[in-house]
Formats: sequence, C-alpha cells, structure tokens
Amino acid sequence: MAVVLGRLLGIAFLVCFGTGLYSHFLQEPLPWMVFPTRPQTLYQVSQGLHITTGIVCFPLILGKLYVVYPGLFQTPPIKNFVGFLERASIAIFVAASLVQIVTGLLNTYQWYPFPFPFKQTHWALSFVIIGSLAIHIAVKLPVISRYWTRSRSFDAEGNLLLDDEDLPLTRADVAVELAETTREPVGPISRRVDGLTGRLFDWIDSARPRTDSPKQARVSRRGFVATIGVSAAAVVALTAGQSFRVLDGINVFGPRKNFVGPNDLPVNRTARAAQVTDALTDADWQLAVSRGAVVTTYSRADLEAMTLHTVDLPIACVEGWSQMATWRGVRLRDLLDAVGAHPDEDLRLTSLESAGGYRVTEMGHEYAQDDLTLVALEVNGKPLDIDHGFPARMIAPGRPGVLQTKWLSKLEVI
Amino acid sequence: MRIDAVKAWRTALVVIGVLLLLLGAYVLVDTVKPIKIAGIALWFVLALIVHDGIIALVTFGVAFLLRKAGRTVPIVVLAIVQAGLVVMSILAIIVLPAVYKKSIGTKNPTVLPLDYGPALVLAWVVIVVITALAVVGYVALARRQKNRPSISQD
Repeated sequence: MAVVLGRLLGIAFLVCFGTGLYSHFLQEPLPWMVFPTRPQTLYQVSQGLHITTGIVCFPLILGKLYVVYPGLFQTPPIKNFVGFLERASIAIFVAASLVQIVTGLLNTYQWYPFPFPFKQTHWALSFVIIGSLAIHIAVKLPVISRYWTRSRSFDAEGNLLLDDEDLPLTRADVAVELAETTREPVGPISRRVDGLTGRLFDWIDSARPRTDSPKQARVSRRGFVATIGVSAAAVVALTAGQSFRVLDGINVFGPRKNFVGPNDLPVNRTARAAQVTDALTDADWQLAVSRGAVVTTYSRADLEAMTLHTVDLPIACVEGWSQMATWRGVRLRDLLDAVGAHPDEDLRLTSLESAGGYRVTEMGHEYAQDDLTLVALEVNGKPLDIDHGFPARMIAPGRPGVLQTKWLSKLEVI
Repeated sequence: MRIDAVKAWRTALVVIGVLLLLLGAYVLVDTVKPIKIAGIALWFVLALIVHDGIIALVTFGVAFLLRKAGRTVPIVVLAIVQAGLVVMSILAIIVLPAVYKKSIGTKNPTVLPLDYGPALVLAWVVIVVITALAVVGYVALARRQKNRPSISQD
C-alpha cells in the first residue's frame, strides 16, 4: 500500500517539479533559452497542473504518512549510524514536503504568515524534495521493485503475497523456537508483535480474538486506497475550476473564480497596490518605443487610430488561476517594425508602477514577433480597467501573468 | 530486477539525490538570509510536530476508537464511515485556511471571492448523507445476500 500511494505521490512531485521549473525559467530565463509560443494555453495548462497537482498532494501525502506512521515508533528508535541517516533524511523529506505544499497553498491566496520569503524558499525546497525523493527511492528500491507490479505481489487468484515475517507460524518454525528454549509454552503460540501500534491493535484484538480474514484485509486495504482516491478527486473537482473552465461550475473552494473582477476578470495586483494613480494614466500618458537612438511615442489616441487586432488569449497567473479573455489592441510587431527592430532582437518592458520585482522585465524575440502578441487597449469588449493595466498592457501567448506587463510606459528593443 | 541492476539504480539515485540536495542548500544560502533560513528550519520542526504529534495522533486515535467500538460492525461499514470522515477532514484542511484568511481580509476583492465557510458546511452535509446512504445500501445488500440460498457463492 505504501508503494501504491508512494508511486502516485512521486509522480505528483515530479509533475510539480517539472511545471515549476518551466514557470521559473519563463520568469528568469538563461541567456540561450527560447520558449514555444503555441499552444497559447501552454502556460495556463502547465501552471494549472502545477497548482492542481500541489493540492492533490495533500490527500496523497497524508495517506502515505498514515500508512508508514507506525514506522515512527520503531524500537529501538535508532539502530545504527546508517539508520540514523535514513531517519534524518526522512524527517527532512517529510518536513520539506509539508512546508512546501502548505506555503504553496497559502500563496494561491497571497497569504504569507511565515518568517521566510515564499518564492526563493519554494524554489530551493523543490531541489531538496526531489533530491530526498531520489535517496528515499534508492533506500526502498528492493521493496518498491517487489511490489511495483501486481504480478509480483499477488498470486494468480489475486491473493496478496506477504513477506516471511507476515506469514503464520509453521510447525517447523515452532519446533526451531522450542528447541532454543528450555521452558514449555503455556498458552497459544503466536508471533511476537513489535512496535507501539502493533501492540495496541493486538491488545484490542486480544479481548476477543478477531482475525482479519483475507477478505477483510482486502476490504480495509482497498477501502483505504479508494478513500484517498475520493479525497483527491473531491479536492480537484471543487478547486480546479480556477484554472480549467470545464470545472468552473463546481468551483466552490478555489481561491479565484472566473468572471469575478473588473472587466469580468480576476486581478492579481491592483493599481493601488502598484501605486499607479489616475494622474499617471490620464490624457498626458505616452508609450515610448525605442531602439537605440530611435524613439517613437504614442498617446492612447494614437494607438487607437492604428490597425487594431482582436485575439483570444488566457491570462494565466503564477498562482494557478487563469481565464480566457478577448483582447483588442495594436500588434506589438507593428510598433517594433516602426523603430526598425530585427526579428531576433529581444525587448525590455517598463511599467508605470513605482516598485515591485516585475516593474522592468524582458521579453524574448519569439514572443515579441508573435502575431498574437498585442499592446492591449481593451478586454472583453470594454476599455481596460485601471486594475487590468489601463492605458495599455502587454498580452502574449503562453506567458505567466506577472510578465503580461500592465500600465506600460516604455518598450526598448535590446 | 537483478541484484546488480538494483545496485546500479541505487547508486545513480543516491548520486542524483545528493547533488540535488546540495543544489537546494546552495540556492537557499545564496538567495535567503540566514535569519530567514532559521525561519524555514522552525517551520520544518513545526510541520513535523503538527503532523506527527497532532494530525497523525488524532487520526490514529479515531481509527483506534472506531476499531474498538466497531468490533461487531461489519468491516465494510467501518471502512465506509472512515472514508467519510477522511474526506471531510481533507476538505477542512484545504478550505479552513481560506475561511480564516478571508475573515482577516485579502489584498483585493477578487482573491477568495466565494463563501468558503458555508460551502464547506454544505460539503460536509453532502458527505454525511452519501456515507449514510452507502452504509444503509451495504447493510441492505448484505442482508439480501445472506437470506438468499447460497448457490452462486463460494
């Protein structure tokens, strides 16, 4: 059972790690990195998967820890130095995993009641967890390989094959034990039960013998796995609507709800939080597009007078929520062509916001040259709300929301 | 799996694991201040205490009491009741922090816009009803099978 749940949890951790790496490098790319811009929903799906899988880890890890909980009370607690290392590594693995999923969940509703920075810690712990996972698998490999496939742990009739120590005593076992002792047994002969939980359950059962028949053992085993499965299905069904539209109707526990917010869209950071005031975005606002010494400036009216394009692109947040929206604006490539940009040149974007880690960001040429990338002026048929980046914001396919810069002020070809 | 294949896999996994742990430690020291790293260590200890000392102990205690109280109850009924309790608890673990965070205020009204507390209570009621129906259904089915001449049973 530990192998069954462990296998699912291991896959979930790897999905989170893979999608997490993708999201990290989108935000902090290495110099040589180029990203796919299709499908447009790529980041929506990858980050939705990251958050949803993270939520699924709650029932999986709790189930897995429950199965192995008796191991916590092994006697003696520490057998030898290798045993100590193994237990210490398990403690780090479990603690890091719990802290990771709990702080990750709290981050989805922007709550940081912990004494460390979220982003850096989440990034560092991901390596600690996957490293501990590799070591844990190495330690348990003999057990895992034995129970991995059904055919190894079950016989042809579907009965579970157990370790030697799980099997009932045979006459030969008893004869060997009796030969080594000088006393005659007085009561029924049974195998010694080690560990606190074993003794406790033994004590309950000893009042009136209750032997779990193979059928009963199968019921409790399958019942447990089914319970974890139902829990996982429930948490996904009732939250994943924040990332996947098909589940929107039953999204009752997601931290975000589609269509709730100005322009029928949720907001991550408001204009007020970014200290973008009406004075900064009034009729005097200008967008500067430059390449070296060549600078062109546009008022909002100038942009509105250009050829406008309408595209359907999702806004997909690092925190997992996403929503498809209809954007209307100037194609970014048109603005770049006007200053003579080359197709392989990247772009630096600056926002009106006064502070924040994403005030100045860079955009790879693959996004800058894409047909679908717009300097958006409208969303869902109305002018951008100031909380969605009025007077103009960037919208590109397959990028995290934090890089879809709001309140644009400067675009520099680099 | 052959013994030497297992050994090769184990060695490879340990090497990868240790390298990733070192990378994690380096990233931590490189990007997080020492006092904040102490904060992470504190949360590690808290996580173990909260899980192993509280959550697991309560779960184990409830399983223990159910097993003791349910000696005469069919094991399937016990399993169904336990399943209902577990699903209710896991929903609570996911949703109660949101209920609390909403009560102390969020950064903007589109964060946690739903009524999480009432929805959680409703979900619990639904689970209780489904659990009760499953128990009643199982008991009725078991009784019918018992009364039926056992031709097809082994």
